[in-house]
Amino acid sequence: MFEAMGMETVIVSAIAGACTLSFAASVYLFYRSKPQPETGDLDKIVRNAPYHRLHNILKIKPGA
Amino acid sequence: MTPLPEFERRPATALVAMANALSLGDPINEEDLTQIIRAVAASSGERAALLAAIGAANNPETGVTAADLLTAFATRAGNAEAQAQDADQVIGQWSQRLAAGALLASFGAAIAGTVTGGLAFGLTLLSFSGFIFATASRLGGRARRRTKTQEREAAETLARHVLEAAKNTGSAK
Repeated sequence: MFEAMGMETVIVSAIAGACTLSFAASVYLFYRSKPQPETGDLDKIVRNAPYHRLHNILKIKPGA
Repeated sequence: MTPLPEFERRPATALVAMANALSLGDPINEEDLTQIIRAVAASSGERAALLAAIGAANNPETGVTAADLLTAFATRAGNAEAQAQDADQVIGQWSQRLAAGALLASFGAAIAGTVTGGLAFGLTLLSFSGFIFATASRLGGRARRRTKTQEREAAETLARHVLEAAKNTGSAK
């Protein structure tokens, strides 16, 4: 079935196809390994933690 | 009776507060909790502060809750680690092999004369850059996997130590 296409077309398209697959897989891996952005500001979370629930358990300095 | 030490507002005490609030039934934002745990597990100062706070707490359940939260975080990090490893082995290795095969094939075709001139050069260049790209992406994935491994191990050991500290809670007073 490949006779009609010519050797060059077959080989070129096979190599180009393999490269495309490899590129696509690499892009996917890069996309996966991208570090997830932090959702919030750490200082803000620390300031707004529910310290009032600790009043009998642990003494926390009154916040600014 | 000596007065209890006062603790500052910092990620370690925020984690204790969140664990306590959770055990009292208050809703806590999961993402905030994860971020606090990550910050505590990564810093040796915060780890020490957490152990001190758990040891000074009047309620041993607070320590157990904190240890449970840390263990759950370690499990999630372990899952992410396993997924990163799978992706590297299933996709990363094969993308490298595909590109290396294409590189060899383009060399072979150029030597045999089936593909000539600019086309042969372009194919070789394409497959070579594909190989380099695949290698770089594998390196990135492995770096992420290592980060997850560190997070998991740090959280696991901290959870064990928090449990130890929670055992001694109350006996100090």
